[in-house]
Amino acid sequence: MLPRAHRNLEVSDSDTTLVARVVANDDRGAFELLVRRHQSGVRNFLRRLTRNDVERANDLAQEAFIKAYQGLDSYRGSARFSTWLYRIAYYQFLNDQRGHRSDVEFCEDDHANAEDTAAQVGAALDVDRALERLSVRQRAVFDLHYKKGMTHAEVAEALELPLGTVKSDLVRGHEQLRAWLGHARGGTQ
Amino acid sequence: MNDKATNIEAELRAPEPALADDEFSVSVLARLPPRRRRIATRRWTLAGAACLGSALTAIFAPPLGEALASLTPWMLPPLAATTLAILVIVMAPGIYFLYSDRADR
Repeated sequence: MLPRAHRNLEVSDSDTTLVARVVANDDRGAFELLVRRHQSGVRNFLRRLTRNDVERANDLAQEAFIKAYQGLDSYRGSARFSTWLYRIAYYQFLNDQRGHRSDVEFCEDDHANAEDTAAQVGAALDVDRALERLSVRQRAVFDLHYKKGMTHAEVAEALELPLGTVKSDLVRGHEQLRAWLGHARGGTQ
Repeated sequence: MNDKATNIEAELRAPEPALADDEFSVSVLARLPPRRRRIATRRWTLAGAACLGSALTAIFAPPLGEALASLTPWMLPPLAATTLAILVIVMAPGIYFLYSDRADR
């Protein structure tokens, strides 16, 4: 539901139209519509990256939208607005991550112990839990591709990664998920 | 193995829950900086820089041109020296403005 002051806005207005209104007239109603339209996706994306730290994800999402508002002049419309927005959210997370050393990334040693850990987790290890065990970049790639429906090229553009890196992250991530989930589920059968 | 892969693929593609806005957009809007003021400030900065550049040019260009012409070992025509001086004086605030604008982004 739109505020009364912005009745001239149409819910069907495209993102590009709304961005143009914000840039030209500082139309906050248009920006509010953009936030409402994308908040769920961005917050879910950041929850995935923060391993379901809801409060932190919400804070980062707010910061991402504010950064997007400040930088709207630089949005050229060559990519989808959502692609541009997820890039901002991703870098917002990475910048914040530097201050969160406790959130240890999945490293090579973890690979060696992956099967043991999976066995410990056992039946409780569902796909969402398994995704949390992937690296930050892989989590971002998987979320944008599978949950947001982006193509490989769009994911590469959003995360500013080479296309080959996106594809290999997906292939390797699949292998890891299959290993973890196969072990966990196989062990309970 | 194929069944497992298919299951994982299906689970990965399962739609994520839509999160209710719950005042999220309101709190984002409340924290937005005053964008119009920023634009207005930049316009005034640009206008001020242009005025300052013009004034400095009017005052210093002829003497600077002469000084440049006398300093160069080769024969620099006074008109070229004056043009060079004007370019330096006018472009300096312009470059600064453009740089600060980019750095802001």
